[in-house]
Amino acid sequence: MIRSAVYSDLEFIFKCIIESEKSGSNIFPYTAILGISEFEFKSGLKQIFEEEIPNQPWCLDHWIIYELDGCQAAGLCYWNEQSGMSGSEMLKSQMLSFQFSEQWKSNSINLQKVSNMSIPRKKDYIQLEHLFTHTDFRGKGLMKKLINWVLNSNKSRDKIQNLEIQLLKGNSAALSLYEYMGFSVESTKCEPEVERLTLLSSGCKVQMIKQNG
Amino acid sequence: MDREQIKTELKGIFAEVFATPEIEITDDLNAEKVDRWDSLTHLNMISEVESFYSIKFKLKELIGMKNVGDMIDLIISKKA
Repeated sequence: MIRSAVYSDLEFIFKCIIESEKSGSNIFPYTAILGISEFEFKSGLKQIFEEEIPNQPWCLDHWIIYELDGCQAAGLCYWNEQSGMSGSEMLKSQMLSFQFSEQWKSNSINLQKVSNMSIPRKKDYIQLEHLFTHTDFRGKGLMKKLINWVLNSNKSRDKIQNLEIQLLKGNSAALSLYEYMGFSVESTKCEPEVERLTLLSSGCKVQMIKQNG
Repeated sequence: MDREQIKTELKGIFAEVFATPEIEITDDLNAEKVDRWDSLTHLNMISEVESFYSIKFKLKELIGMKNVGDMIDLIISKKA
């Protein structure tokens, strides 16, 4: 069963966020970049979720959960990308810097390195982020069903049907799933220093899109 | 506070943060119109503005700002 997320899903959502950010590696970017623990990150994230700020991934309203056998088996978030000061990257930066202001200021060099890999998200494209399937439920096609659910629900609601996913190049399993689902690589941006400093598991970011016009 | 005076003061801050000396401060100026205005320089600019006016924006206020006009409104209300 696919359903909208509720507040009691928050712990599973945090798992989706942390595991998707790790991208199959042991490197948790926020620990590496800002020097905060996973526990500190989750505490800050909880406060950010309570602000209910839309059009960015850390908002409960944008999450859907695949529930199987009474368990949270998979999840993802999606939103319609805005531009300029309302763009999701701008919003996320503001929320993080507000929540972790001291760490943000003292790690500006790391932030700049990661920022060099940033690819502007396409305005009005539906963004998919933090896609994660619990290890106990992999190989059942749940993520494919979740992505198709997003596609179909937006088809009936309005004209916006184009999807975008950004991920690290090293996540080859995810890349091949998205290609299989009709996504194609739109652009790639690399910053070798990010990998050398082990801030992220891969020094290249990939932007994939699926146009359904 | 006078809007035109604030615009003159913001011009100095924006010119330095965004490395764009010729920048024109208008109410509808936003990140889409300045090449070097990205998520990092945006936060540097906010920090400089807060320091210059000795004010502190709340998160909701930061998120609600859609352009420089909104920022000027907030500066005026906080300094009133």
